[in-house]
Amino acid sequence: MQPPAASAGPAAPAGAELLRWQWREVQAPCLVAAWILVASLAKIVFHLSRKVTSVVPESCLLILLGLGLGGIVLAVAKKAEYQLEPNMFFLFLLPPIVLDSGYFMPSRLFFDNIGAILTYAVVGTLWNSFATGTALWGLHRAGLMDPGVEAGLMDFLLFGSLISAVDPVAVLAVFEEVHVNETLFIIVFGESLLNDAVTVVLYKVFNSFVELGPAHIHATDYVKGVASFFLVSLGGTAVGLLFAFLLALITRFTKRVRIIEPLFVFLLAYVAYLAAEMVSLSAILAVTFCGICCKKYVEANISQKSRTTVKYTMKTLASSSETIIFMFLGISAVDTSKWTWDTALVLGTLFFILLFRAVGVVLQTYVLNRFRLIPLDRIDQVVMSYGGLRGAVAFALVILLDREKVKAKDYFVATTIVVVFFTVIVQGLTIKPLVTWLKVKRSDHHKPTLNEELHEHAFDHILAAVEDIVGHHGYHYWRDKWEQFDKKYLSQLLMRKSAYRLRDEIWDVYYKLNIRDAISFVDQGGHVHSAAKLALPSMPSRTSMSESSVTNLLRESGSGACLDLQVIDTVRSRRDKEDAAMHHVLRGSLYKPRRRYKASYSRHFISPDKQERQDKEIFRQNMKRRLETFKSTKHNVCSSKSKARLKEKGRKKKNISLTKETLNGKTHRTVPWQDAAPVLVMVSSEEEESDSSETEKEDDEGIVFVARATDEVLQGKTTPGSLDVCPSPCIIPPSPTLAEKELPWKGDQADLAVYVSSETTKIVPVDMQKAWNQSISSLESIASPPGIESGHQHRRFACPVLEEQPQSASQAMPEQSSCFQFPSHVSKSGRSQSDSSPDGPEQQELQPLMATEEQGRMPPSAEPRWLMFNRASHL
Amino acid sequence: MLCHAGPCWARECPADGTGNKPAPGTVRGAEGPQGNRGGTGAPRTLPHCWGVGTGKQGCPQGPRGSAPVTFVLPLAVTSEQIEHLHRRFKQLSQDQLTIRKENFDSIPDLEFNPIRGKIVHAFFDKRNLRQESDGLADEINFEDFLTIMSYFRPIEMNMDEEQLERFRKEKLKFLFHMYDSDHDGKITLQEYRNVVEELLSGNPHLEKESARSIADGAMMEAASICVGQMGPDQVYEGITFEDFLKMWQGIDIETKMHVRFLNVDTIAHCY
Repeated sequence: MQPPAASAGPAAPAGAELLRWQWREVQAPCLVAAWILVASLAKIVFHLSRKVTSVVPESCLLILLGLGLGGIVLAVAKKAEYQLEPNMFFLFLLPPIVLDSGYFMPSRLFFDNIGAILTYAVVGTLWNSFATGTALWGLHRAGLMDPGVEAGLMDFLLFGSLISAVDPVAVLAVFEEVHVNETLFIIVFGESLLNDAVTVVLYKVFNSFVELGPAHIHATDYVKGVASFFLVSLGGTAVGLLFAFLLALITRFTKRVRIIEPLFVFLLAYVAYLAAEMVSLSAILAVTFCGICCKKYVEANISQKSRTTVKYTMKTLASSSETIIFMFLGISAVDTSKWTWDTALVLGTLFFILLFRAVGVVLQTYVLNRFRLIPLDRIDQVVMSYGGLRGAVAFALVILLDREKVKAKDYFVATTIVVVFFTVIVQGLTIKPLVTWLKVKRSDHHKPTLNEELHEHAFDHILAAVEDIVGHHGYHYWRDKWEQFDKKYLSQLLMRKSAYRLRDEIWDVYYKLNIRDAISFVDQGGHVHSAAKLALPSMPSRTSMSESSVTNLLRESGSGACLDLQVIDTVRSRRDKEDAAMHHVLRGSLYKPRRRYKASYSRHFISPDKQERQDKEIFRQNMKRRLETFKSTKHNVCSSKSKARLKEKGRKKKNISLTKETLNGKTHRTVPWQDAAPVLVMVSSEEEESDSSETEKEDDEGIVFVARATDEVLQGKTTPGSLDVCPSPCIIPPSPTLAEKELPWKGDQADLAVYVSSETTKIVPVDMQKAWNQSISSLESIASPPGIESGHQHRRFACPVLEEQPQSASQAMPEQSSCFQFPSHVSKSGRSQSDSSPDGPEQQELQPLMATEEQGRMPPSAEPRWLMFNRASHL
Repeated sequence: MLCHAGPCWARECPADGTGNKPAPGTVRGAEGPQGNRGGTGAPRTLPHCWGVGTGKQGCPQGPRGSAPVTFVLPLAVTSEQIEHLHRRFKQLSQDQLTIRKENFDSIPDLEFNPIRGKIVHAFFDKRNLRQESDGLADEINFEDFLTIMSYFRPIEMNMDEEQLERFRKEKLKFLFHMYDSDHDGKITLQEYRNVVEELLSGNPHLEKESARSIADGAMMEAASICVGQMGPDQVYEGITFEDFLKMWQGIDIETKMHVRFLNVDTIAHCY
């Protein structure tokens, strides 16, 4: 960038210089940067006072600032400088705004209202320009205007075409602060975007007519004008769609170059704009449709970080463009050399654009309401009429006029500036009170709930089905058809396989909700719920997992505890138990600092490198909370799942019978309680487990948690007696590796896949639930029969367990079953079991082998268990 | 099948002379079973007998120009629409007086609908048919068909608050019944899970497990919305209709759950 010595050569013959003034080289970019800086600083100043910005729209303030700055520039430089150049506006300032609005356009809402939007955009704009143009011409003919205004019908029509288009920048700037309901907003805003095609065509056609002169216009020119409208609008849309397709396709293959993903989005959208501009199609339409259409696929393809980058960059660009536009509008207005004031023209224009806009809206709405499902009422119409703001597009277009051809250009410039200022400042200022006064339905920004999403999906299907049944090919029918087409072909083509597989809106919402809840939860301090209720350690985070200091391990021991899979230490000595007891004591006091640390660290959870990990953690935390509340509401899942679980007693019985069954599986001994129901339950849960563990592996979206009837897990903690309340739909014989459960730190590094802290008692993710119960029970009484394992990881060490069962448990069983309801006995029998369990080395040898086999066999429902038995019997 | 039945019927209808003869005929025929089944004269007296419910009363006298009997709400389904629906009904039922479940299988577009079963079910759900009894009907006649259709009417411009409220409740009830498959007045977790699973069944890559977790999450949400903080020993059995209404607060179902039957002429179908 820095020009080398060559440029400085002739100027500086006197040897080497230390410093050189190079203002010329950096002038242009420096000025740009300076202006942006000024505008941004001004924004900060505006927002210092909440009072001002709540009353006055930012766009007004910026225009006023521009006026002020323009005045200063004029006073200092003695000439107007730094104007809003049409070229700069159309090539650099407008595209970011349009892309932003297209990309973040609520597409469903947009297409739901596309009919109304198109009507207003096309018919409305046509009507406005012709009516305004003709009326002004009439005014001129009536001799009310200054004779200096040399303009014929064509000139006025040209002026009408550029002055009548509602401006997307202005509309967005004002309506974003007003918060009218979505339908109203999307109609006004959509109109302002889509009317670009009409404006462009009218402007060009009339411009050429003016240049040709009225005498040389033939009928074919009119036909050409009409044809060019379709060409420009449809062509622009086609360009947009083409680039959207390309963009989606490209992002499909950016897996290894994540870092430039956002670049593609901006580049291709900009190229779409330029391409459309190049062949004089509607560039705004191109970018709008590019944004709308690519979003779904692009978002699915690019990484989470890129998504965030795209979002913020786009918003930043659009916001700064908008700022600059409004500021420069103000500055440009100061340049009186371009002005020629004519009161009649200005007032007439103001009056006519307001009048015709209102008339047009009312007429169109009258027609539209006959076809609309949700009619637009009177108040909506008022807001729509009043919200027709004009802005920088009109200004840029009027500046672009050729003074040679359009004699009255100066008058038009002055009028346009007045109109723009009037609409942005006066209407912008008053629309908020107006909306309040009219009690326009505001958009209720309630949090989207999962239920809503579900119901709306159900709705879509229901409505489509009803249309099918009625045989009416209406909107829902075609939407449904489109969705099927999209699912079958487009998504497959344009989405990454992994993304496509996981793509589902309901799931997305679910995931986002969880993340959001978790974020707010963590932000609020994180320990409000759990810490108060459960005095147990938090879930360990992966980050700290890597640290191997003893204290860390101690702190995090809560989770790894029951899930340690590889380090199986079965030496269960008294010392171990003491250790365990000690550990439990320590845990209570140790977790707190860690908590605090976590809370503060998650407050900055956006820190990019940790984002994903944190997402996961947040997700987990959140699930904890959710399930906690869930638990407190206590879903009666059991009742629907199996009758056996309706009563505690029944549940216990079932457990026992299951245990028995598993134990005696090989010997086919009949067990008194063995009945069909428990077996069924076991099977289903087995399926669930394998399912969930699979999902967990495949989605890398996070861990799949499933609420189960975890009714009284917590109570189980306080009193050993309620231990048996932990509903465990399937039973795997007690694990001998109690030491792990008791001495969690032993297994900390084992498997990072799943962490459960025993403190999360209430959250029971399906595949962890059992491990869960185990850890709980280990808290109660060290030797109580551990709960059930689930998920293959757990099963890994569950299998060796079985080996011992035939010997020990078969004897222990009768006793256990008879007194299972009495917790003290339970613990006793459990202790006896664990005492009698064989020692470790043997198991450790066996373990890896079994684990792999186990994994392979998982899916078939009840099979694994039999497998275990067989193995056990082999031993 | 319909390929032949469809256009045939469409052509036959105007050839009938008046064009609306078949409609009153069938409707009158349909009146028979209705008298039998309820014996209550329900549609006429039921408080929420609205729209088509009353429209049907007019039908026997001929759909066109028949004097409305007791219009609680303005009749949204015009005679023209009824005619169309009747044509369609005939088409579906293959000229029978009633439609059976199997008839719906012949609609090709319905095939890809993930919750097809639930929707078809709703057509035969006696609760939706405004009958006193519970359970499933084996077959529905045209009148029932219209009754179901009337759930999907759009709102009228001139409805007052009370009407809107009733209107909304009707629609929600229909939806509720669709979820509550065991007719116990509660959407239990299991039922909800089924619905979600069906909803997600369009995506073969989503595990059943995710459907479950979503349903569980939704249920939790419902519980927290409807009951708030529950005591530890409280049990949230399922979403009752009152809870359902609560959940729908703030969502304009009346602006969403409707299908346009207008412009029925555009639907000359031949599959």
